[in-house]
Order: sequence, then C-alpha cells, then structure tokens
Amino acid sequence: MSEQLKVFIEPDLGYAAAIEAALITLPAKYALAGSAQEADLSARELLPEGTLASWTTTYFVEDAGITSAELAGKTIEISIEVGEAQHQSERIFECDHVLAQLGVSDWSDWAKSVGSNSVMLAGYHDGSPVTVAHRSVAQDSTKLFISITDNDHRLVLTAPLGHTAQPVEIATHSIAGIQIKRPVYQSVISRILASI
Amino acid sequence: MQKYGIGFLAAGPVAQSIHIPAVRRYPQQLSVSHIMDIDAGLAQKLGDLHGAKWTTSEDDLINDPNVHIVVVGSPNQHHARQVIKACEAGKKLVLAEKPLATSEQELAQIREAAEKSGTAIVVGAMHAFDTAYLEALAYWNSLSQTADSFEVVSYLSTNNEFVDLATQLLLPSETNAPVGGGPRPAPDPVVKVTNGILGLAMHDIPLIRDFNQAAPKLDFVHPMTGFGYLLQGLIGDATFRFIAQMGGKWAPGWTFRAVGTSASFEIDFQPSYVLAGSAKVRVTANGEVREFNNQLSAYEAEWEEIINIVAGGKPARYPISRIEDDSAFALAMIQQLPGLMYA
Repeated sequence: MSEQLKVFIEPDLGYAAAIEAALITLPAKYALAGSAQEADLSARELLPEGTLASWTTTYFVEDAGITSAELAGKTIEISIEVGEAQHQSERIFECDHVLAQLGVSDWSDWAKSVGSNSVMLAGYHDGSPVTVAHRSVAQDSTKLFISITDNDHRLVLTAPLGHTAQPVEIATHSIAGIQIKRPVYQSVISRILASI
Repeated sequence: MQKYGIGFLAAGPVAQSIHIPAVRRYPQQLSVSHIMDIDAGLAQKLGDLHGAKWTTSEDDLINDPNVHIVVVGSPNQHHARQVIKACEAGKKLVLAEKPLATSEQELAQIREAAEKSGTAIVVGAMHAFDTAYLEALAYWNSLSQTADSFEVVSYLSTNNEFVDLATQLLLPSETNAPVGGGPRPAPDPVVKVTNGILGLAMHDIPLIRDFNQAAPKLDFVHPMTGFGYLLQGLIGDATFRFIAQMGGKWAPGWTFRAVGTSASFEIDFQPSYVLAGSAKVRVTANGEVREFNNQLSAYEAEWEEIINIVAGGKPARYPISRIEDDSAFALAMIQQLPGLMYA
C-alpha cells in the first residue's frame, strides 16, 4: 500500500472547502488529518503560495501557452469574483498574485478604485491597457475571467472559483469562430495536488 | 386612428437601418413623411423609396405640418439646435439620437424649450427601452438587492458590418464625398473618449443610473486604438468600468453587469443596428436564477414607447428631468477626462 500524506487544512485558510474537495479525489496520495498534530504537513505548506485565482491563472498561462510577447499591445481584462467578504488588502493581495502569474509584475503606479465590496485596478503593461476587478459575489457565482484581446483574436479563460470540478474553459475567439479547448473537469487544486 | 408623420433629420445608416425598418413595423400608427439630408441625392433617393417628401433644409422639415415626430440623427453638434427648433415648432415628440446635448447649457435650453411647448423628448439610448431589461429590472427592484460593482463591456465589430446585415444601405452621392485627400490627423485622445462616451457609453448610462444615482468619479481613462475606451472609477461606494473595443474580427459581445454580494444582474445585448429581438437578461438572487428574453428588439420597443406617448397620451418612461440627469452623468465623466489622460 502506498503511503498517504496526512494533510491538515487550517480552518483560516482561504478556499478550505476547495482544498478538501480536491484532496479527497486523490485518496491514494492524500488523507485528511483531523488536527495539526496528526498531520504530516499542513495545506499551507503543501500548496504553492497564492490563492485559487492565482493558481487558476497559472493553469491558464501554461495551457494556453501565454508568453510575455503575447501580452504586448493587447487589451487585458480580468475579473476575480469571490464568494466571501474580504478586506481590501486581501483583494489587493489576490490581484497582485493573479497579475504576477500572468506576467505583470509591476503595477505600483496603477489607478485604484476602492468600493465597499470591490476593488478595481487599471494601468499599463508593455503597451497594453489592463483592468482588474475584484468583487465579492454570491457563493454560487464565483469565477475568474481573463480576456486578452487584439483586433484579430480574443483569448478567454472562464473558470469557477468554487470547490467543485466545474469545467475550466479556455476559448479563442477569431474570424474563424469560437474555438473552445477540451474543457477540464478537474479542479485546479486537484491538478496541483496530483502533480506534487 | 390618427397616423403620425415622421421627419428624419439626416438620412444615414441610423435612419435607414434602425429607425425606418422599426417604424415600418407599425404602419397603422406611423409613416415616413419627410427626409432631410445635406446630401440632396441621398435625401431624394430615401424619400422616393418610402414615398416621403425630401429636402436639404432642416427648417423645411421642421415646419412641415405633416411631420408630428422629428428624428434627430444628424452629427452630434447639431442635436441641441434641432431639438429646440422642433420643440419651438410645436412637434408632439422628438426622438434625438444620443447625445441629446454636448453641454449642460444645451441641456437647460432643451428642457426649457420642451417644457414650454409640451414636446416629449425621447433619447435613442435603446438599451433603456429593452423590454426584457425593464421586466428584469422590475423583478430586481422587488428583491431589495443592491449592486456594489458595475461594468459595461462591448467588444464589437465595425458599425458597417452590422449596417450591412440590417439593411441595403443607400450610399451618399459621390458629389458629397468628403473634401480633401490624404490621411486625417489622429483625433485628440480627449476628443476620442468624449465621442466614445457620447456615442456608445451613453446607451448604458441610464441602466447604471437605474441601480445607482450617485455622480461618477473617474480614476482611469484609456483611449483604445481605433474606436473604444477603458474607463474605471466609482459611483458612490460602487466600482464601475466601461470597456469598449471596436473593429475586431471576433464575435461581437456587449454585456452589462451589476453585481452585489448576494445577487447579480447580467445582460447580453444584441449588437447595434440589427432588429434581433430583446437582450437576454439573467438575474441571480437567493440561489435562484431568472432569465428574461423576448422577440421585440430594443429599437422596436423604443418606437412602441413613442406610439404610447403620442397616441396614448402616456407619460414618457424617461421624463426630461431624468434625461437631463443621465446626460449630466456622461458630461461629468467627460469633464474629468483631461486630468486623467496620461496614456
């Protein structure tokens, strides 16, 4: 019998339900630990730094083959819609990680609009206008949406940010129509855990 | 049943592909009576096609007693003057393409003229008349939900593409071709975004104001290459952004979203020019999703509103005070543009 890694999911960890749902899909590899004492390691230690939205962005970048050249001279539209109330600092943290995974590392001089339950950022990266909206929405409406557009193509990610394996969809819009990559019915966290 | 004659100030694509086809859906109540364009050849061709008088003089059309409704589809700088003249001539109604006015002073003059003559004013911001939208809005208002963030995103092909799909366009006479050769100078970025707000964003400003009546504070402005803009800011304590990019080869998309922590209001609009049924609206609240959609295009709905006003004596859905406030929202954004244009 293979050795299971006993993982404790810290209650204060964001997306705890999503992490738990992913762990139980890989029973040969992982087991849930009821306490930190029973665990080999914690979910925080197991997973890479970031949030579900930034991990999903990594998946998008890898699967769509996005390079820095492809971010130049485009319109980049991002929506991060989460299912809980967040402090503005948490929203900024998540925006920062999503942008970093996409390849946008310096947005220090960008415009920031801070609302009661949302934040928007806008600025430029390599000649491209970039807009990021981070909002709190209903639990069943969470998603990450990224669109990279020029006049010939739109590359679009639509991904749920919940705890189920709803399909992550990557689509290319062009004069040839809309081509959707084979959807992946595996949560982004499951993919990460499977690859560790 | 009285039939109301319509006079069109400008005979271009807006008249030909939007309003005349919509008007002809109501032959018992409406008729195309008079066409005016500075291009005599075009005015005559369009007039002859629809059995209407034609002229190159706006005064001839406005003073025609058989014209009860004036459609102002001329370039923006003529709108206010023509609307005021139509009011002074005692017309029953003026349908002004957006923008109704380009300054607060013009707005005040229009209000004064309309109130004095009793002329009803309708602004051709067609999304505000979409029946699926209005039905969904009534449902939303019954839910006592609030929206904390707004966005209007339009990725659109060129207008020419949709005009070609909507009608067989009569082209301007060759003698009316623009004077002077060579490339035109690039427009000033402030002018570009101003035109974008007045010409495109204006469609959806009434919708945002149905949810939130605060004044806009812009934080970011970017003029897109070609036609389009990216605007971001606050309305009260709600965030908003307008994204518009035109001329792409991808499938068109035009969406409106009002998002709250427990409900959302999402619209997929039809493109401009085509009479392709209503928008598709989805309201999600309390774990329940309701969808609204029907076969009446927003342009047809706009004309049904006009018929209700002139024939039915019903009050306008958007009275002049509301039109003035919606226009003031657009002008407030425009006033903030110069200080933000660092691209």
